[in-house]
Amino acid sequence: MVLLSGQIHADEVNIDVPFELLELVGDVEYGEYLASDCKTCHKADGESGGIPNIYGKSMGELITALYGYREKIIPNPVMQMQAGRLSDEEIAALAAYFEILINWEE
Amino acid sequence: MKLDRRNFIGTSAAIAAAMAAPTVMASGKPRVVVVGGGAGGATAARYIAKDSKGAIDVTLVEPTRNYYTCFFSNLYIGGFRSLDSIGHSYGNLATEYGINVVHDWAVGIDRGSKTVTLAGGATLNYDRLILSPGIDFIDGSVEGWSINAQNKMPHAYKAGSQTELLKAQIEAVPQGGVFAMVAPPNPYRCPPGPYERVSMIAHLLKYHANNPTAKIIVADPKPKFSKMGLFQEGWGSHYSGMIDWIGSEFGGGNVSVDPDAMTVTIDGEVTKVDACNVIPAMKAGRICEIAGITEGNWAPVSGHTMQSRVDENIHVLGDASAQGDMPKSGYSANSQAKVAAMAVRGALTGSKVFPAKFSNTCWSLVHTNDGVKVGATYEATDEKIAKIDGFVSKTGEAADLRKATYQESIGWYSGITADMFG
Ligand SMILES: Cc1cc2nc3c(=O)[nH]c(=O)nc-3n(C[C@H](O)[C@H](O)[C@H](O)COP(=O)(O)OP(=O)(O)OC[C@H]3O[C@@H](n4cnc5c(N)ncnc54)[C@H](O)[C@@H]3O)c2cc1C
Ligand code: HEC
Repeated sequence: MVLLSGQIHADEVNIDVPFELLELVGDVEYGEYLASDCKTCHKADGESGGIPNIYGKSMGELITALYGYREKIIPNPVMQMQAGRLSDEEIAALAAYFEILINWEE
Repeated sequence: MKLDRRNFIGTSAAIAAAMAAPTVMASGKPRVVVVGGGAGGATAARYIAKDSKGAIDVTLVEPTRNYYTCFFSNLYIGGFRSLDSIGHSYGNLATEYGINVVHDWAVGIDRGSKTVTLAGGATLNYDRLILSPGIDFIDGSVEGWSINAQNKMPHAYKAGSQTELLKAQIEAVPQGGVFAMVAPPNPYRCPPGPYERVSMIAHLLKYHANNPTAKIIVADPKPKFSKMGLFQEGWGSHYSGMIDWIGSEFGGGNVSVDPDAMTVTIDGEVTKVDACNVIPAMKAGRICEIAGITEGNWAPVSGHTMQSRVDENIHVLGDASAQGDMPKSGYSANSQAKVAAMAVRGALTGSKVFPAKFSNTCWSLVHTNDGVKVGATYEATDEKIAKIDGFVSKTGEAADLRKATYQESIGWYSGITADMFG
């Protein structure tokens, strides 16, 4: 994605996500509820202003980005705060929900 | 978002239905009535309709056909947005989500028979009622000002014609003239709102009205305000010498106005002003009082579900609610609406209910590409909605970071309005 600010973005950092997190199977229904929080900023029909598109990303990409923000490896304070309160199970639930969205549009 | 023919038919069909039957809907489905189509109400109506997939009848009562967001209304004043770009219609909610949108005022609530009476005479039955009416002003909170003076000294704290009027009056301030703002006491809608507005008014005067020698006086009943260091830093660097903020230590709370003479008296000193923005003290929208669910000025709720502490069949969202630590913002109202929507669906259709989670971020624009933000996450405890974690922009940040922050706010605006209106 475009570098808006000289800041580092999710796809520009090397992040080693723990294997156990990648292995978790997420609860899609819980993911749908958690994702309602994301929709205040991330619009379903793509990127807008300084908010990137997150729909259509693979499960691996989403887990990596959310883990990276949670562990403060990627610097944006808004996303660090959003991801900061997510447990491993919640990250897996979100990834599972967004993965399903790729196949079934709302 | 324009009202096209298809949307128009959707809305007017809903109105026709409301007119024809004194009690709308007798389908046997559980019924939800939402009063107020703003940040809280529109979001709640949309989420309940969308996620219940037709299992719940949703009626949204909102008097205006075009909702102008207060958020970004300061950017309209500053010359960064058009008024059109902050106006939204209810067409999609009617046609895409099957919500009965009724353009009327709720004037009565009978909690015993679970009915809402509208100004037009219709009565709506509900199984759950959601109130998100925003704020009203407390009479007499600024000496000399009443709602009858709102054309001479606008509040512009409900967006639309008031915002337009305030902007026009500021544009008409003569060279080197004086604009005054009377800021509100806590708690009030949008803690950084008055100070973002001061920034945008300075921007309007300096760059659009060609009036850099005009003066801005702010009379404030508070000793400090949201993002104060960030705003004062920006006022010093962008609008040097224009803004005089008078806090409570310097008599800023001892204020009266005379809308006919166009004077403002601060701590005994009378000043003739060319334009004046009075932002009075606030309370929950009046329908909450009428429903008998307020305690003091606001309607207390449980953070787990946003249910009224007085009546479990009523949920109160947004500015009108007393919930704990969340600021009164559009973002907060939207966040609370999703928790309430989940709780309402759970109660009426047995769908799964997860623990409530909330968040908020308030961006403010100080100058071109100079955005700042404050945000936090929250959870529900039995006592209140409690803050977990937060952040705030820092003074002295690099220009490119401030620009990225402003860009985020633009993305957020299109995100939240899509989340409200579909
Ligand atoms: C200048 C300014 C700037 C702001 N900037 C931001 C910002 O950048 N970010 C942010 O998150 N928030 C911001 N806010 C705050 C935000 O606008 C409010 O907190 C938010 O709108 C609250 O949502 P609500 O649903 O409680 O009320 P509202 O959005 O005000 O909606 C209430 C609705 O209820 C309707 N209504 C009232 N009474 C009745 C009745 N009896 N019957 C039927 N309908 C009724 C009204 O017509 C209205 O449409 C700002 C506010 C102001 C004034
Ligand atoms: C307050 C607004 C906001 C909310 C709410 C929000 N995000 Fe973000 N998100 C952003 C911003 C801004 C960025 C860009 C951050 C950066 O520059 O690194 C971002 C970036 C991302 C990225 C990286 C995308 C990329 O291409 O780099 C992912 C993935 C993401 N968000 C997922 C989520 C999820 C999942 C949620 C809900 C749990 C969420 N976001 C909630 C604002 C938000």
